[in-house]
Parts: sequence; structure tokens; C-alpha cells
Amino acid sequence: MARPIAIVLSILGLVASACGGSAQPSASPNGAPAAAASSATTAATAAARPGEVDAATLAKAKQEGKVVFYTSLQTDDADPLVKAFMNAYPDIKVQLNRKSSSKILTQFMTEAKAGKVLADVLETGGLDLAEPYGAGLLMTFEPPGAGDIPSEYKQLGGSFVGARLALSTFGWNTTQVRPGQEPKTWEDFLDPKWKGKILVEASDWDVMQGLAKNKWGGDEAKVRDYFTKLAANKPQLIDGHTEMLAALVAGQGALGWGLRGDTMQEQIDSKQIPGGWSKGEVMLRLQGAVISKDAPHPNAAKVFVNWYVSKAGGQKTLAEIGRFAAVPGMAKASYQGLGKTYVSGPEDAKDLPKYEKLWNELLAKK
Amino acid sequence: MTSQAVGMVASGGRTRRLPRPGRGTLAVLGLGLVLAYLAAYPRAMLILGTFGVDGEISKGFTLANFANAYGSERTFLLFQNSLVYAGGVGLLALTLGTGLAWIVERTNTPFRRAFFALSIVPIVIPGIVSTIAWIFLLSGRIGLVSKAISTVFGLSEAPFTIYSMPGMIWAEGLHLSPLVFLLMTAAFQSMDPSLEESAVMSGANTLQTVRKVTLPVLAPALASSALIMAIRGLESFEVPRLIGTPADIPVFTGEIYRALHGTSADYGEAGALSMTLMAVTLVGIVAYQRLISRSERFATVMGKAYRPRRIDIGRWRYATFGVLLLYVILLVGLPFLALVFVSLVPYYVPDLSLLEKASLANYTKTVGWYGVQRGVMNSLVLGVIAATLVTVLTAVVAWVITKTKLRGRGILDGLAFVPITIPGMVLGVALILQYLSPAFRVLPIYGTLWILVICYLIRYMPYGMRANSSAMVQLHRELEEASSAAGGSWLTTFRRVTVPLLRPALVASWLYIFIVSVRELGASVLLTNQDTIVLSVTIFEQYEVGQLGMVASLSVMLIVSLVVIVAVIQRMSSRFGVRQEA
Repeated sequence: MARPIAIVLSILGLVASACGGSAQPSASPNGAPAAAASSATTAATAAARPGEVDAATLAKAKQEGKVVFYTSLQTDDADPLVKAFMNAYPDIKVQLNRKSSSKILTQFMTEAKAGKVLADVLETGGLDLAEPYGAGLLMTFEPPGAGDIPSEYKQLGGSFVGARLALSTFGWNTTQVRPGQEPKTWEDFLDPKWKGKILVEASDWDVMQGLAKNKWGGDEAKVRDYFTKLAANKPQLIDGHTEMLAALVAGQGALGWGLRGDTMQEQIDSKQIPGGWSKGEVMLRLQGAVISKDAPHPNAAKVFVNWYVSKAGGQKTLAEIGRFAAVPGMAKASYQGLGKTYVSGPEDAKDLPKYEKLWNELLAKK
Repeated sequence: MTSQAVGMVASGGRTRRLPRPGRGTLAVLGLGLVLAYLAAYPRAMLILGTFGVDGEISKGFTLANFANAYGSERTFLLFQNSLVYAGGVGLLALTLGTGLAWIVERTNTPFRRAFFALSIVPIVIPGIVSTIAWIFLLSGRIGLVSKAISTVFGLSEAPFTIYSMPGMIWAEGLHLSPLVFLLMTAAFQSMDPSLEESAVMSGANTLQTVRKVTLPVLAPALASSALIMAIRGLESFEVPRLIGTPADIPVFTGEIYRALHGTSADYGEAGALSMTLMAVTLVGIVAYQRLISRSERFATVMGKAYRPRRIDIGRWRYATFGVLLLYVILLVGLPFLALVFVSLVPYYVPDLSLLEKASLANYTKTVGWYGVQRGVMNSLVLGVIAATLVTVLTAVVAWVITKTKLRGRGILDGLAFVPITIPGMVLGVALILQYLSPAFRVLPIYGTLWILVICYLIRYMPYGMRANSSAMVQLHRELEEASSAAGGSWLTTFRRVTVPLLRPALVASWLYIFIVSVRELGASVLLTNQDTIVLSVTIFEQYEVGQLGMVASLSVMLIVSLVVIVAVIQRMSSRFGVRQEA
């Protein structure tokens, strides 16, 4: 009995070694092995692109040969983005590491804390990126290709450029809310007719913060007034935006406060879910790419980030795959025609602890 | 000669010599060091962080994390809810698991063998998916079962909802009952029926026999199960998060989750909260050690031959068959069918007419997806390696604890069990820090499957310990003494006497660890990359982007595959070890 077990274990050990990746994260778009780097790109073609990085940086980037890209983009979005970049810069291979925003940030911060920075580029929500910025882990880099990005999307003194947008808004279940009865404003959620029918994501204090800053000019009394009245309508707190949307679609509630409009739109487009969302008063949450101060491949990182924020580069690809690109006018029709918009980015993160406390006091009752 | 030499034990006034391990002792002590190495770093990181400013001791010492964790007005409510929740979960899981194990192993209930493989379905389903499935079944507003009952009885709303303390206990207790079932079936298989026969011959009925003989003899196995259930009830977070939060029923694990997933991860507060888990664990370990200190009281596998025998319960076997059927239909079949439903439709609403839009699109997309293919391969390899290593390691450690009088052996039990109190995400962070640090960076572990092997070893040692420890207690010393007297070395005795007799417990332990390692998420999500991605992370990625249909289809395929694997392993393992009457 022992010998067969030993043989099995040996085989499994060999298989495990074969399955193990390198000491650095590695992958490729669509999971296929990465396309071999080609040395065929001409310097003249690369340098001729408008908004390109300078020739010296580009040359060093090609020598570096790869960029390690940490992102919270969904796999279905990250893969075409990476593929498009590698088509534009065949000499620079992308090693992709994809996780949810909190996890990719935790991994990045922990690796830095351990003294071994593995990521060149970190791409995730702006509010999350405030933490590595505050810890001095980011490089200052103003991409020459970011000319079409609105100035308010550029924050943290040149370390951050918002490249794509996520929407925080409110929505409803179209089988439970008759046409014409949909809420038009955030204040409509205070109407007693919605008592017990509202779903709220349990940790949406960043939406509270965005409304407080943009809608009420930071007046805490107004914030307290609004959320005390909202709490009186007995909203049900659901942990997780995915869960909240699923519960709303299933009919657990009629209205969803603070739900992700872009996620809902995706599901309306792909699955025809019975839902709708408001364009009247929307929070635009900046998502962007930053470069590690100690990036192993700093020049390749600059080329990648510059491409990502350029209108003809990453912004075009984002629009093609249906994401909300930061360059105005490029988003698909569903995202056009927004009313009032409030921008939320990394510079708002400093106020989050205050609003987390207020949220717990007024809504979560902690 | 004194009785202080290793292996000497006093019993009833006579001094008996246990097999002297010799080189085996050194090997065992070495394994103890391995345990300490595996568990010490993550635990030390958590403890030091608990007393550190911003969760880092290098920034200074502080007790503020305890104040934040325990100083709020809700602390009492938190403790109260957590005790009720953990107690309820433990009671439900123990009762259900033990009762089912008794029916399957001890009675002549028809079709009991088929039940074994089906019984593990609740633990196969990932925690998030299982909880969502119960919400889709029993939510007062959107539950399929709730709606059906309301319709049938003409009620405006169902008389129960999953969003309640009983609902939370139901979802978690059911999820954990297969673990108790596995542990207790192993214990029953190793139990000499002569004890029960003696009781019957003395005039006791079945119930009296179970109450006064069976359960007391199985106390170590029950205590092991109870200890795990208590910790799991305090430590799991899916149910508190998905059901407790909407129901406004805060419990400990919800607070730990909140501390780790707030504006920025607060390891200090999470560590302070987990100290309660650690305290409960240590108290439980000490209590367990006292219980088994006179282990010969619980020895049921003796030197003389025996055959585990089934009790003829007469017509009651149809009632027990009904219990098994009810369990399979209601508690296994319903969540499974809910997942099948979600996997076939584009989105979930509690309306079966949505089946008009049913298709296999989710299955097609899932099967063709690279992440799934890679995840399945990696999970299978990892599961087999982790289950094997954990089972072997903890079997040896359990032997040391229960069969020797080595000083400090109780510490080994604590070292092996304490990792159960480390939240998965914290373990992931600790391993990144450890294996990227200058001292360990030279080892090519980070970014490979091996860091996951280490992670799973740490994570599942506690379960292996409890299974093997309680099983070891059932083996009487005379069996090993006989081997030693015949000239067998420690290793020979362990290999050819102890291990075969432990077969039921080893198989149960291996199966459980294999299944839950395929499900492990908290640490895996940090430690994997695109090449080393595992199935649980694949499922979670799809879940995060709202692809519930793909998640459900993957879960359905996972359940079917694992049930088949478990059935095959069960069939294969029945060829070895103690034969049973049909």
C-alpha cells in the first residue's frame, strides 16, 4: 500500500512543479501562452504616434521587454486591452495579474511591504489608489497622451489619471415599479411609499461621501438629515454590490440605492434583466492606472500607461468593449445623456473614515 | 528504574511499557518543529499586529485595537448573538451529523450506502453559493419554497424567512453537518459492538443503549466535532455576511470581515477580534486533552477480533429511511435544484416560468473558459497533495499526543489546531510577507502552486488533527504493544498496525480536506495568479461580476464530479481495513 502511495505522490509532485508558475505572476490574454515578442516594430512607427512617450523612454521600454500589469478589470475586459496594447507594441509583453479591487490592492501593498515590488502598473478604483499613494509607493508620471482626459480626472499631483469610469447611481426593478413611478432624485428615496422596499449596499459610505461633498457642500447637518430620513424608510442592507443587484432583480426590493449603473447596464444588455437606472444625478467613480515607484520595468510601465489613457489607444479599446472610457464622447449610447455628474477620485479618500463612521452610526447602526 | 522514561505509563498499579519509538521520536519531534514553522509565522504576525499601531508592531505598541474591537456599545450584542449562533450551529450540525452517521453505520436502514456520497454535497458547494442558494429558496420575498408555501396556503407572506437567527443557524449548520457525519461514521466504524450488545443483553432498548453506551464511548469524536463546530460557527463569514447583515444580526465573523474589508484593511482590529476565537480554541483544546487523558476508557478497537455489527431496528428502519430520504430531498436536493435552475436561466427571479428562456449557454461558456480548465486541473492536484500531506502529518502528530507521554505534546495539539482561528485573508497576507521577505525570497515558492500547498497545509491541519486524534483514542495500546513485542519497530507498527486500523478516520479526513481545499478561497484569492488559479477563485471571479449563471453551472458540475469521486473512493476504501457485516 505504501509504495503505490509514494509513486502517486511523486507523480503529483512533478505535475505540481510543472503547473507552478514562475516566481512572478504571469498570464496572457484569453489564457493562451503570450505571443512571442517580436523585434519587428520600427522605431519610426512607434515614435510617430501623437501623444507618444519620448524616444529614449520607448527604446528603454523595448529593452525591458515586458510590463507587469495588476488590475481589477474583469478578465473579459483585461484580455482585449492587453491584446490591443501588445498589437501596438509587439516588443513589450504584458504579464497580467487580475483580481478584485480590494484583493489586488492588498497583494500590491503586501508585496511592497515585504520589500519586493513585483507590479509595474496597478489599475483599479481611484479611491483605492489613495492608499499606495499615501504610502509613497507611486511614481509621478504625466502621460503625454492624456491630453483628451478632463483635468479633474487627473489627481494626486501627477500620479493618477482617470482612464475609465464606473457609475454609482440608483435603480429599480421594472416589474415592481410602474413606468412613471421611478425615482428621479436621491431625495425620492425618502418618500414613505418606498418604506421597506429599498436595498442599500452595506458599505456604500463612499457614495455618502460623494453626495456630501458635491450635493451638500460638505454640510454635515444636511448629510445627517438625509440619511436619518433614509434610515427611517427601513432600507435593507445587502453586503456586496453583486448581491444587491441580484436581490433587486429577484424582487427582494423595488429600489436599489447606490447601485453600480454600469454593471446593471451590462446585464440589461446581455440578459435583459428587469431593471432600470437613473441618469439624472450620477456619481462618476474614477478608475485609473498608476506606476509603482520601484517598478521593475519603469519605462515599459510608462509606455503602457500612456497608451492606456490616449484616445487612439486604450480609450478606443475600452469604448469598443463597452466600457465607459474617460475621454468624453467615447462611451456607448447607454452612457450618454447623463444629467448632473459628481466626480469621485483618489483625492476624496481622505474623508472616507469620517463618512464610514457616520454611515455606521446612521444606517448600519454600529 | 522509574516510570519517567519515555513510553512508560502507569495504569491500575501496573507499569506498562509502550513501544519505544527511538529514531521515531526524533522524527516526530522534527514534525513538531514543522508544525511550529507552518503555524508560527502567520499566528505571530496576527498577534503582533494586534498590539501594533495601525496593525504593525514596528509603528509602536498599543491596546487601541482591543478598544476598537470590544469597546463599542454593540459588543455585548455581538457576544450574545455569536454565542447563540455558534451554539445553534454546533447543536444542529452535531445532531444531524451524528444521527445520520448512526443510521448509516449502525442500523439496517435500506439504501444507506447510497447516502454516503450524497451526504457530502453540502460541503462541496462553496460557502457563498450555498448561502445564496438558501436565500433563493427561503427568503421571505424571493424564495422559491417560501413563495410556494405562501401560494399553497393563501398567505400574503411565508411564515418564515432565512433572514433570521434560525435561518442563519439552518444555513450554516446544514453546511457543516457533513463534516460531523464524516467524523462520526469513522468513529462508528471503529467501534466494537460488544459494548452495545452487552447493554442490550442487560435489557436496555435501542434508545437507552445509544444514550448510555454509544454516545459516551464516542465522546472524543463528539468532542472533536463539537470543537470544530464551535470554531467554525464563530469563524465562517458567508452566512453572517449574506444573511446576518440584511437581517441586522451582527456576529463576530461579520465584524472580522468588516475590519478586513473596510476603507482600509484593519489587521489590528481583525487580530483583536480573532483573539476571542483563539481563546475559545485554547479552552477547547485543554478541555479535550483532559477528556482523553484517560484514553483507555474510549478504546474500542482492541486486540481481539470483532466485526462492527448492525442493529436490527425492525420497522423503525422505514422511518430512518424516511429521515435519509428527507435529508437528501430537502437538504441536498433543493439547493442543488436551485443551482440547476439558476444555471439554466439568464437571471434569477422566483418564477419557474422563466424556464421558457432556459438554455445551456452558461455551461457552454463555463466549459470553454480558460480559467475553468486551468482551475480544475490546479484544484485537483492541490486537493490531492494537500489532503495527503495533512492526513499523514496529523496522523503522526495525533499518535504522539494520544499514545506517548512526551512532555509538551499538548502544545503540539495547540499548534496544529490554532490555525483554524486565522482568517483566510490574513493567512494569505502572512504568507506573502513571509515568502517575499529577504530570508525566504531565495525559495522559488511565491507565485507557484507550492505556496498554495503550504497554505492549505496550515489551513486544514486543524481538521486533520481532530479527525485523527479522536480516532487514535479508539485504538487500544495493546495492539501496538503486541507489534512491539513481536519485534516491530515504531515505524513498522505505525505503518502496518496503526494506519490500517485508522483507515475509516484517515479516509474521512482525506475526503473532507480534499473537498474543502477545492473550496478554499480567503487565502487562495491572494496567492494565485493566472497560471496557478484554482477553481474557487474562478468561481469567485465570476460571482463578483454578477455572472451567477456561470457560478451556478460551475457549482453543479463540481457537485456531480465530487460526488462521483467520493463514491469511487468510498468503494475503494471499503476493500481495506475492518470488514463489516452486510
